[in-house]
Amino acid sequence: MSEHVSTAEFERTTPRLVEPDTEENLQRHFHENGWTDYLPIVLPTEKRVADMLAHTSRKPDEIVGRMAPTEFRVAWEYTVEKVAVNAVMAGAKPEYFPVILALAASGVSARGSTTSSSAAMVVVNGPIRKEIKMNWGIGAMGPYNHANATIGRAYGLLSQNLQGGSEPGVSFMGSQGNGYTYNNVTFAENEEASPWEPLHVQKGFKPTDSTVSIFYGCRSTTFCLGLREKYWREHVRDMLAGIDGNSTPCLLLDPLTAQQFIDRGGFDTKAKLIRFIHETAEMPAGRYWDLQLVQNYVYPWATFGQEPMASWLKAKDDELIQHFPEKDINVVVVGGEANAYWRIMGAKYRKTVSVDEWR
Amino acid sequence: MNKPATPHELSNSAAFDEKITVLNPVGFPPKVNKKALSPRPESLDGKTIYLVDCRFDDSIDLLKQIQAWFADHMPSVNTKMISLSATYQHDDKKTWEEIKANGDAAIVGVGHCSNCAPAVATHAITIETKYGVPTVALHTDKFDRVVQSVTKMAGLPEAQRAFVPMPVMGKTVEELREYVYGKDPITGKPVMQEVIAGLTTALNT
Repeated sequence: MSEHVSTAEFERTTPRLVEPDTEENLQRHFHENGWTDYLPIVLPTEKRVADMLAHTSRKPDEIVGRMAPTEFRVAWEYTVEKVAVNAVMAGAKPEYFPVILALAASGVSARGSTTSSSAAMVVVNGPIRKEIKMNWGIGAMGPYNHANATIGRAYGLLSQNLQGGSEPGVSFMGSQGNGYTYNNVTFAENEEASPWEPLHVQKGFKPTDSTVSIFYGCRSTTFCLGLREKYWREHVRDMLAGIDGNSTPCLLLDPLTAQQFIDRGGFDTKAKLIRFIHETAEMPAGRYWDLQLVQNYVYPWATFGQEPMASWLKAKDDELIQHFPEKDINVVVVGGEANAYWRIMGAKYRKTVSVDEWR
Repeated sequence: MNKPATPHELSNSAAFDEKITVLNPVGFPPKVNKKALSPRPESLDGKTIYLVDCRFDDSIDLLKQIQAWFADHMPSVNTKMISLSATYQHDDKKTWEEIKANGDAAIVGVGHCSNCAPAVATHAITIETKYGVPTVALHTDKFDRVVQSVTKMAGLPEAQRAFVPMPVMGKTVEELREYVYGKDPITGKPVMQEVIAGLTTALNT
């Protein structure tokens, strides 16, 4: 990153309060300033923000982090109070605030500006899920739970407002936009029904830790029902062929499907399943290198000698390469066992952040 | 007994005119440190211009047409094509030092995505202000407001740039040549006129 981005200083030039006005005028003011997602917001009165701030031990003026819509755009800075304002706007309850602070602390914008129109995906793990009554069952990735809905919305609002905006043509250039952006696919992992260790434990946390994990991409999505006896391996291969070359597969499995993977393939750990996915996602090298996304984002690294891409570059055109590195593949269990549906989201894992540090 | 208010009365009730105080949701911007353009030569005759390829989406193909234009119309100008050492996401001191040591001006391109346009603008400002080499950045027209925003926040809103039509990716040699010989879609001025004016004291006239 350029020096001028990483060594920026900040001035507190943004006012703390908005000019007092009627509710109707304030709603319009927030919309006209690009501070909303064009849905009505909960106005962030001082009482509501104070109630939100009561659910963290951190001081209101403590710096939480910095965020920018892309690299090479200077990041803006924000405090605990600023995050609280956006949490109120989203309609979040105060008890959700540590989760929202953790998302803000990640520095990963849910309103990144990429012409490809990416979106974030948020997976919550640990005891916090039950404390704030999140959903990891039926409808978990849809609008069927207050915590899931408003935490995801808060992540989007805080990203756009605290990073200096997400204005089409200026700070947002997604050519088509992405419907996942409304709530950033926010859900809790179904740890109880999962036959494997939860995501946050794979990332080095204890089962009793509460965390949020952020993925980014969410452009390509493939989808299936169960695993058939005869061609299940080929069906998985077909699904992986639909994941874009600049993403990595994140499997989102209903618990029924997770069990089917164990029944069909003996994958009694996530690691074994990830190894299978890595080995199954194959493509002839010539075809792989001809993908525009690969040319743009993978090819330069290959020419600099970064592995495994550098080795793929030496492969003959018809030689099969396993183009999703094992370390980049993830598996999350979510769903209510209504049926063995599952999907693969093309989404890169970004980071896992402790929620407990923000209680 | 009081009659309930009618919808008309409710709509016009002063109770709804109550003013509320709310907090501002916007974060804190970084301090902008003003920068200045470096001095420019009167002309490019006999000068060496580095054409800096940001390595994204056929950028080098457009720069080759710029190189061809100089060869055809200003043969006294020496152009040197160079690609960034890494991806555009990285500051490239090695390349900037070579430009400073051996070049008189630079053209950086092409900014034609939401990441590479800020990067191209930023690299151009680095070459201009840290290495003292007059620089013009090339972008596609869809990113003009992105570039305005990035250069303003970098402290050099007057950073020199020219725009060509979108897309560059996938265009033929002939189509890219037409871009170079054509007009900037944002300003309406000929692209190469802007490039040359941006690199010389013609900028000040």
